[in-house]
Amino acid sequence: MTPDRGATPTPLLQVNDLVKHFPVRGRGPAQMLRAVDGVSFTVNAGETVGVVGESGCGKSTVARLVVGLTKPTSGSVLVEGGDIWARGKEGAERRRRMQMVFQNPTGSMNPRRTVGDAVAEPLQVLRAPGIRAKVEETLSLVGLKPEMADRMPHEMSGGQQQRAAIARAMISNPALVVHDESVASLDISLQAQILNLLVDLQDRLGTAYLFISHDLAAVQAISHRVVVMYLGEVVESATAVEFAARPLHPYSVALRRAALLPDPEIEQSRVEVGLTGDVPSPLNPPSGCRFRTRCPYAEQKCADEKPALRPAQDGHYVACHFAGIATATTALEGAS
Amino acid sequence: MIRPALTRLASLFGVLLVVSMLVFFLGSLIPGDLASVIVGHEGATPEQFERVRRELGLDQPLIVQYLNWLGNAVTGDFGTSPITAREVSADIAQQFPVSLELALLCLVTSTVIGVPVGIKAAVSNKGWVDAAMRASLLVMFSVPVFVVGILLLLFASAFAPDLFNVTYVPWQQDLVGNLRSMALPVATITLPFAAMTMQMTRSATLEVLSDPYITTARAVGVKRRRVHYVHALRNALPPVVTFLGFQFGVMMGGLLVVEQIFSLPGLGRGMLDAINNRDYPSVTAITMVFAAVFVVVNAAIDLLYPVLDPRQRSR
Amino acid sequence: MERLNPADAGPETRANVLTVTDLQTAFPTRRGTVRAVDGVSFDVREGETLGLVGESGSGKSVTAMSILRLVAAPGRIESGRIELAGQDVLALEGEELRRVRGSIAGMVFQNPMTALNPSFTVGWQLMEALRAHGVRDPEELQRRVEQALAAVGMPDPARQLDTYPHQMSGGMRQRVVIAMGMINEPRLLIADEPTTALDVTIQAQVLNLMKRLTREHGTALLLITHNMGVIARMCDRVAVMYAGEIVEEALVRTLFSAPKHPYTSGLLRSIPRADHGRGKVPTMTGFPPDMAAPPSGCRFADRCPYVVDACLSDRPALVEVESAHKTRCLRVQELGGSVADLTVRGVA
Ligand SMILES: Nc1ncnc2c1ncn2[C@@H]1O[C@H](COP(=O)(O)OP(=O)(O)OP(=O)(O)O)[C@@H](O)[C@H]1O
Ligand SMILES: Nc1ncnc2c1ncn2[C@@H]1O[C@H](COP(=O)(O)OP(=O)(O)OP(=O)(O)O)[C@@H](O)[C@H]1O
Ligand code: SF4
Ligand code: SF4
Ligand SMILES: [Mg+2]
Ligand SMILES: [Mg+2]
Repeated sequence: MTPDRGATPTPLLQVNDLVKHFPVRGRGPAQMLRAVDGVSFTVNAGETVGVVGESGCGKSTVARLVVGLTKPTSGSVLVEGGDIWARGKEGAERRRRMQMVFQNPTGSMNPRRTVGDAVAEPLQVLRAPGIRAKVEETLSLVGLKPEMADRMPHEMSGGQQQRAAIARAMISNPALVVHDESVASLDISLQAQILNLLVDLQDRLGTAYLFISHDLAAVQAISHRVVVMYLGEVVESATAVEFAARPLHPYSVALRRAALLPDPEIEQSRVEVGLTGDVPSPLNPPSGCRFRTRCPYAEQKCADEKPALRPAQDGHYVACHFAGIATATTALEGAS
Repeated sequence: MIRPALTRLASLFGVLLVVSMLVFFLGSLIPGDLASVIVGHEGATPEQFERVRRELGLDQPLIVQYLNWLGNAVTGDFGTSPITAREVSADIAQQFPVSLELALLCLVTSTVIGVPVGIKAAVSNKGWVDAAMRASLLVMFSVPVFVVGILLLLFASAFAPDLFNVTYVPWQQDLVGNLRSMALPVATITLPFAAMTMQMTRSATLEVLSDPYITTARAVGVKRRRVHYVHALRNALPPVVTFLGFQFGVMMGGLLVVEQIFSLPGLGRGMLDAINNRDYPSVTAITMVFAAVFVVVNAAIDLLYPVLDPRQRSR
Repeated sequence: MERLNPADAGPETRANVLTVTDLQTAFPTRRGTVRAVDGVSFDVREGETLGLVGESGSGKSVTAMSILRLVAAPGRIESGRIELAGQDVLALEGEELRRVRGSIAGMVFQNPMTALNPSFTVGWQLMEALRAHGVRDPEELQRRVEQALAAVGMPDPARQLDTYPHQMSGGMRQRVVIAMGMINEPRLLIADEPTTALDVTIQAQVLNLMKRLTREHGTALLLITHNMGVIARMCDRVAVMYAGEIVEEALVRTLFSAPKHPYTSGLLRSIPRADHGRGKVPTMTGFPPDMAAPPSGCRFADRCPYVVDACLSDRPALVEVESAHKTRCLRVQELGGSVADLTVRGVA
């Protein structure tokens, strides 16, 4: 069930059948919003796993569950084999090995504290000797001048703020950093700068990333493996190389097609229409395969029977009764 | 729609119950009781005193007294006033319409002035119109109500003595006469309330005016006035209406200065007299009426919210 | 509908719907005047789609808002000329200006969640757009609104009339916003980041829709975006903005295959692609200049790999270096194709 690399030792992060339901109070009876509904994946040390999917598919909820900001309804998050919600110090210790970077650089920092204080926050001691040196070292690591420690957040540009947020996540030497849309609010050129910075840091420090984004191109640029989510479930998971060449789930293929390429030759001769319709409500997801309301290949079986996430080949997992049907019948333009 | 209304109603009674307890038990802390008011301090023998107490049930434990009172109150019986020797509920039945009329008239006039002026001020934000309006607001606020009231009274009696009635005329008797007796009191308090409404409308409208859909409306060619008075106002309305409801509650309970100056036999004056005379049953009863008005107005606004803001409605 | 579809005519013979000349729009701020749009000139021809790209803060939205004089105070159009279907927009007053809005040029805004009024039904808002331009007959209002909703692919248009915006998904709302922009059959549609707030699969639907509608009605489109993929998909021509100026303007294919301005080339290189695997993307270093105190020479100088001394002191002009290809760079002649070469190599 868990898409990992077979014989490897205990992965850094193991997410097992994670479920998070939110009770929603409307007028009328309370309903359950199935934000995350049985998600499993692993992240190995030093590796980047990218999670893509459309708005509301549960990416941020997964992020918050992984770093322990919320407790799951059921399922578990294991760090090096140990549950992050284990009682006492052990659990807390495991949660502390993970850090998170959020989308909005402005909102994630206290406007009344200096950048240096914000960055030092995960160390949990502020005025100890050596902290200042550590802060400055980390700031230069992410390409900021050490003097920036004395600035207030609003005295920095958006790109600089996001670098500072990354510095804050990296300062405690975490084993894993979860990025929830950390480049989404940035300009193209800044986005590229930050993506490169992340690759650099990983090469140097061996930090693993869980990189969450709705932007497939950004995910492809940074990830070793890619996980595709739809309506609270994982529908496909593969190595980035394999996924770039051969996405198998009809939804993944649609995502790929919808991602526009910066190339007028390809784009202007594009004829096919993408997916129709909207993502259904997670309050009341479709029976069987949740993608069937928008899937061009849906058949009766898809409504009756939920497709399990199963290996299509080594390290490539798909949850579709007819995996590969989309790629088989239509050639993907622009695939290199 | 039904269920929330019922829950609302239940909590409404809950609030009233708590208020009644507070009023009753806090009132009992005041030295002296009803018996001492009735019998008077001098010349009463302890026996007389005790007899009155027994008749009134004041010798029983406080909780029993409260339950008795509550039992009567729910049937509309608040006891008899030791001062007027009339049923308290009968007094209130006379005072309530006066205060209600005064409050309603004030609400209408202050809204009719406050809302358009508030929008105008918001639209000309930081322009001279806005500045002038905000300055006059300060002036209106800083002159005490009784000064305005007495001045108006003096002017009216000096220049147009026939235009206004100085004594209260019930509207059932003579509608025009009634309005003539209400004109001055209403004029006295309209402006300060209008000033508050204006301020509230201004800030609510300002907030809305910077919303993107206002730009959308302008970009599609909707007329300026219509953008302000239809597109923007509709969205500024919920906070303004909440505020107006609050104001109405204040007006019902807090116009005693005006009622005193213009000798209007309303609740405010009734309360003032009752307190001066230590007329416990009336004080308790009028307080309950004030509380009930507040609670009902609040509940009404809550129920109105979905009407004003479609996002509050269920699908 | 009687109008001849201008898209059928060759690009050269088409007339301009919009001509912007030397536009300057400024905001007084505490730190001094910000010239958000500083001498911008471009034109949009009948039926064509012109893309306006550039980084955040480069002045794209302010340009768009200036065209219909919707720049919010204290922002002010300081100088320039805007000619919209033969009318001098900056000379229009009151009612005249209002009549131009929506009927000659319509607008579509970025965020479908906030662009519609939450207190009125979708039908009312669309009718309001028609009423603003003199349609009074209730039956005609109803018919045209239903038509407009059907045209944007809304299922069951008659029923949608009584729907409130919050009852619709983002994609559906953006369709309504587009319907509103198009309902008075304008000659030009100005769309400011129309799909940025949408999911990719919904973005594809909305872009297809806009492409189809503008084709069918011969509407010209000024499409503002920072997404190069959207530009590639939608546009005939592209203007690139940087720090309040247009730095390059070319036919879309030319721009992508042979950019002449170092900024354009840097921008193209730094885009990660969905069909590429893991790896670093070449980046531009640095940030755009502070618009309260822009550099006196070339505004891209401190990030430009080709910068020479002259760039720091002389402000380059936008020159037509080839037919239909304008660039604002002092070294454009000597650099020649090397700017573009870098682009191609960067991708590999
Ligand atoms: N605290 C909460 N209470 C109720 N529902 C919630 C809560 N948090 C998230 N949800 C719902 O759970 C679903 C998944 O939300 P989540 O934020 O994880 O999505 P996402 O994939 O991150 O989307 P986006 O791309 O928009 O950030 C959504 O339908 C959301 O409305
Ligand atoms: N109301 C305002 N007051 C002061 N400066 C403003 C105001 N509106 C815009 N600006 C400035 O004008 C410049 C251009 O802004 P504009 O919104 O046109 O950028 P943009 O290219 O549309 O960017 P984005 O891609 O982020 O939408 C920015 O530097 C911004 O700071
Ligand atoms: S299981 Fe059926 S509906 Fe689901 S993706 Fe596969 S083909 Fe489509
Ligand atoms: S003018 Fe100079 S600095 Fe500016 S783009 Fe050209 S080469 Fe670069
Ligand atoms: Mg999210
Ligand atoms: Mg913009």
